[in-house]
Amino acid sequence: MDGGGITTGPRRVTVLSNNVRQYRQKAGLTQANLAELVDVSRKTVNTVENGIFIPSTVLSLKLAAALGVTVEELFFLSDETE
Amino acid sequence: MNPIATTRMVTNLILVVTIVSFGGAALLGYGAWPFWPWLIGGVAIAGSAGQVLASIIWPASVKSAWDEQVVSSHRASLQFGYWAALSLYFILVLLVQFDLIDDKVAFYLMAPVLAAAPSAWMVGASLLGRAG
Repeated sequence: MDGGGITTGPRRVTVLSNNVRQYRQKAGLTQANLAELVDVSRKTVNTVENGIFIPSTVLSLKLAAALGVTVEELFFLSDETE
Repeated sequence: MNPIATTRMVTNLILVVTIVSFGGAALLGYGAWPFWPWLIGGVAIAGSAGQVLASIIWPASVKSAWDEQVVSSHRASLQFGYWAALSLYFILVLLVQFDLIDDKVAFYLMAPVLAAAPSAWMVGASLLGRAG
């Protein structure tokens, strides 16, 4: 008997991902170089690349300008299953 | 590492160690000695002066030492300080109610913990690469 119970399965969540590392390396920059261009610490660039720290709109625009790409090319939403 | 961020971490660490030493001594029954508040205040002011001095010596490092991730960690440290002080208050109330510590000692412990908690958070944030 089905009983009309709620079926539970893997939960899908939307997460913010980024291509900062790829575009930085493509531009031939180190984390320290990029950090200097956008007035943040190297560690902040590192945590942004690793998705630990979500930058503000202002910093996102600065990063995009420094790497010569659009913000949408750097940051995007993706679905992940939990 | 950014010299200003390093100075901030070291001065915060010294302040935390000083306050934890004070708290430990007070809880072990050595009382809220009159010189403790002066020592804690002196260390805190010296730490602040050290950070100001570091900012004067290395002006180029100021922006990255206070970038938005650091500001975010600093804000979180203040929230942590609020909850730490509130939690400690209830713990101290119980300890005083059961006559485990003197109410004067409990009073002397409140403010230093409020000062130490944000500094402890910032030390942790520094070690995790989230404070410059």
